[in-house]
Amino acid sequence: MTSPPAASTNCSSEIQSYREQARCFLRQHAPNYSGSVRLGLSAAADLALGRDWQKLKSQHRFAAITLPRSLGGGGGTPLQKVVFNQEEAEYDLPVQYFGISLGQPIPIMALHATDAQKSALVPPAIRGESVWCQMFSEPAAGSDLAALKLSARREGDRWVLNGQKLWTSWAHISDWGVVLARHDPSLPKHKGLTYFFVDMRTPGISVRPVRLLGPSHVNEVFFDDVVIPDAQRLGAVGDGFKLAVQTLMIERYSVMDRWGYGPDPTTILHKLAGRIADGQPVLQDAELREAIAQSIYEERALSEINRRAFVAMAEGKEPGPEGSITKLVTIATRQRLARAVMNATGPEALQRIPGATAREDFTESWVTGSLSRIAGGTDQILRNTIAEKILGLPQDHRPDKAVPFNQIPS
Amino acid sequence: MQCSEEDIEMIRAEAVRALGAVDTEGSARRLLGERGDFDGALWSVVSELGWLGISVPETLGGLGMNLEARCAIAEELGRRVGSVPFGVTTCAMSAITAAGSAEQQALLREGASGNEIFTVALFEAGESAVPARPTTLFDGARVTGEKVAVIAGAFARYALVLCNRAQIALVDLDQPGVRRSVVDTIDNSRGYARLTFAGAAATPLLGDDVLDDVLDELAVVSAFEQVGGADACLWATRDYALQRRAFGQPIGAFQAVKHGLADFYTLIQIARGAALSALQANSGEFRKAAACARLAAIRAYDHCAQEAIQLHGGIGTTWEATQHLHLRRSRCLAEEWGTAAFWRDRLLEAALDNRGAA
Repeated sequence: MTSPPAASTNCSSEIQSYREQARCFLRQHAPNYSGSVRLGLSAAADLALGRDWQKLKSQHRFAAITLPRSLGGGGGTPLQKVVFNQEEAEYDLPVQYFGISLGQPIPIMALHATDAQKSALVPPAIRGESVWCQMFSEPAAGSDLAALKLSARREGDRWVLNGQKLWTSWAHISDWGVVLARHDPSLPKHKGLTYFFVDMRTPGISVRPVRLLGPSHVNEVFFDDVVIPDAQRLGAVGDGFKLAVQTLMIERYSVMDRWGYGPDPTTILHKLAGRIADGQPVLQDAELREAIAQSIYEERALSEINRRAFVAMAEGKEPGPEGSITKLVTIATRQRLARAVMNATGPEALQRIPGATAREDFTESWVTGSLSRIAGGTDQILRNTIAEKILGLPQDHRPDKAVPFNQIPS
Repeated sequence: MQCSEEDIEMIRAEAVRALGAVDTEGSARRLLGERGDFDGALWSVVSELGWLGISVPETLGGLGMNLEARCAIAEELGRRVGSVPFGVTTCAMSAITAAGSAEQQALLREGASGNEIFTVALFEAGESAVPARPTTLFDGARVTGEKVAVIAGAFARYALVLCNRAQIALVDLDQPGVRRSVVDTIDNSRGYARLTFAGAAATPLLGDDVLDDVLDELAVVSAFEQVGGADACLWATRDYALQRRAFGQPIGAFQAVKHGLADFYTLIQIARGAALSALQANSGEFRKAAACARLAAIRAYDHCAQEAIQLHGGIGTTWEATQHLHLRRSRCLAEEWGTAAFWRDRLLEAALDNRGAA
């Protein structure tokens, strides 16, 4: 979801008063953890600041808002979480380290771990003292997640894990992680998977950061005879795929930045007003005008879709499916806009400005656009999902369906 | 009267029911070959259900409902390629309601009943957009000049004519000073005509923003008509993709088709979201919101109508198919009330003006 202009959000007074509380908390505290406070901080110092912010939020029930209070969560509703995230996004806070941790593995732990495991592991994660990663994707299993190969061999009441994960966000700062593994390659691919959690310091686990075409927080994680107790299995043997889908669905109403984590297009209107190139005002460039206009009207449309979803949720109804277009639209348009701005400004746009981020700089936004169109659901998978789930079109032909995994031709 | 969501859904359900009983597509196809006419059977339905006066105040013979009600009807008419000048006549009446004299407003009764049609005449020869400096002149009493591609110009009784800089004159088209020549176009059901004014008697609409206001309203009502049309293209093509088989499976199982239809869906949701957003906008934001609605709607309907034929393959190009009706209509709606480039300018101007209100 993109964040709607909060003032125009039409909703019950209860949720409005929650929004006021959130704003009040943020006004008072967020400036101490964001903006200029973060300028020039080392990665470690920024993470430490993020941990402090997380701790403060947990003391005010604004961390892991939907998780029970008994585990250190906020004991709130999904709608409250959306509201808080909208308001929090108004500040440039060091929250990125905890997004996956508290959005996927920790809620799954809260659902499936034993009480003892939960009370030992969940509260520290909510306070930001520990970070969790999600280890699903592999070199040959991305969009087709169930094609993963990392093996889990049972030995009595222990499991031995061998294989490789890839694209694991924040593994390099993680203390724990959830991992999806294949316990039986003789079963069809979705059936032979089991779900575990592991201490990232277990012998045999090694994490190697992956350098990307832009800033990176992803890693390769190697499992080399990693031994874990059966007590670290979540769900039944063979339920892995089901739990993985559940993990990915937890954040279905997550807040997405209105400009797709790229620059606000109206800033370019102001920045380029009066600028001349080739004897013409740069803002007369037709490609640029079209890209800016498209960004603006799409953002407006998505805000309205989001507003309506919000109203539906506030009324206890299920929002319509149209919110599922958000990422597909926003990221592709951000990439197109960045290219148009670079075209309009000419070769000077090739210059990198030290410290510039994709959030405010069109060149950086262009560089990282390609990443965003793949991470978290490729454009192609998103289109397939719309076609199948909303339009009711048939699934693609899948020759590997119902075939034992180890008999799928590779 | 403010309409609740339930009111709107009732109106929509009524529209779906009433339009289901009329062969709108058959009429649209027939009218392609009949210059200067529109769908009379559909017009009777539209008139009898009170839709023409839906936004006209009750004191002037209408139902006094807000824009939303009219947009729901426009969307359903668009879905059925309805060949009636609903959008333009209601928007023209709305401008007269807002800026007309008592004498001008007295004409609205005839409009609300469907006896007379109102139109808006903007374009001039050699201009791709709404002219910034029209050559059609109005001296306070008489209009002289020529307007082209006037929608419903073939059968409208009254026109709001853009004159001078941005002035709007109300002209009775049934007078000796007005000559109509109906032109042959890609969609003759629209009744496009060239109107020549030779000192035609006229009265002014008063107010600074009459032109901009009527343009914005036309953009929004038209956007809903476009959304309805695009949505019809989506679901017709989706049904066809499920039914038509090739290479041993429904063509809807091929990603080229699935992704194509996912793009229809995405463009339509953006267009619908932008159009709905305009209905939520306060008056200060309406200019920008209307431009957003118009741009998104042009893109969606253009794309869906064009690609619906492509995904249907050869059968979609036949006279009997519905697809070419949408193709024609989508282009008409993209040109009427100014092209995308014109509205892009309006949007960027508004965005530069009030950056804070984004």
